[in-house]
Amino acid sequence: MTLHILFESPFAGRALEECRRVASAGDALLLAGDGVYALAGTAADALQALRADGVALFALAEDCAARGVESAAVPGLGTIDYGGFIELTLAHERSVSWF
Amino acid sequence: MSAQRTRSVLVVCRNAPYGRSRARDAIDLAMAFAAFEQPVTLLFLGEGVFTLAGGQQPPAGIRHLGKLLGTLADYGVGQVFADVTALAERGLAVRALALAAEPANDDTLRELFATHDRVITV
Amino acid sequence: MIFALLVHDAPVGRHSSQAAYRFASELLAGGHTLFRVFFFGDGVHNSTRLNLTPGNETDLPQRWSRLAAELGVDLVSCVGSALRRGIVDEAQARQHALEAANLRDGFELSGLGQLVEASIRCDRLVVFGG
Repeated sequence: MTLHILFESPFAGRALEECRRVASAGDALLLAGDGVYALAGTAADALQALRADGVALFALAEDCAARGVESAAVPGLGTIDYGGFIELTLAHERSVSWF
Repeated sequence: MSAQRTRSVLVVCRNAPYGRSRARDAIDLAMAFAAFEQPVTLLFLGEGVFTLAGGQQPPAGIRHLGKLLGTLADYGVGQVFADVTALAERGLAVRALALAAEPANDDTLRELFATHDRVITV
Repeated sequence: MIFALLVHDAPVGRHSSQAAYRFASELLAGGHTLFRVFFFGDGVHNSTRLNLTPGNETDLPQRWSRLAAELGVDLVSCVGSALRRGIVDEAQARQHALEAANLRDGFELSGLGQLVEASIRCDRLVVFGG
């Protein structure tokens, strides 16, 4: 199982789209930095689709807060701190960073 | 500390060749891992497939990445894959590529990402 | 668990070096082992000692250097990336007759073999970019 870490806004590039194509059920996706803009507007639909495919969703709370992004926009998404980020890397065999 | 001596590495190139230095960096990383006898797979994903395009003619002073690709096998980078969805979207035919990369559909991509010990995106 | 980090981007103008630093310090605070942080490409700008940061902003090169001094973290900047970008240590400055060296204390310049070694020795490799 893989932890995907998205650092890029889905409105700026295609990292989230490519992540979706390679992710498997049981993987997790962490939104970090501008990646938290995946919670905004139409991008949230892509997150819902990932969740429906069995990918667990997380976002770094401080990056949401910094950008004024509402993490409750996507149900089932967990907000975490850096300690939680480390726990996620421990719980998955590998991580893949998208930026 | 682990006594393991090798880890399989998937290097993922997601950038076109000449606008930024990242495509070159991805190739350098793949060659370095291979030089130290690590099993390396190099994947050109999304925009990265432009790095495989034939007919590249960079000016003097810029490293010719099309030619550099031809030396991958000498360094021991045996496995090179290209994202077929991205190739089709960009009008690139597999037979016209600068390097005979293996076409990878989404099933193959999922497998590549799920089976390597390390994934290094560049 | 043993970790290694790969840092791709510059500390100023991009977010990911800050994220890498936060991740590294949290790891060490949590008692994990950080085998090495490898700085590649623009990431080598984290290893300059000639940056000046306004007092209310985080000076990442200084923070990394402090991690190395206080907790013995191994910080390696890719020598090929560094020399192209004007990051040089004393030995390189002497060898190439450059007028100054600017590699910050706690960092060393070395080849990609150091990243390969980190990949072999660690349990988790986490990449920071963007």
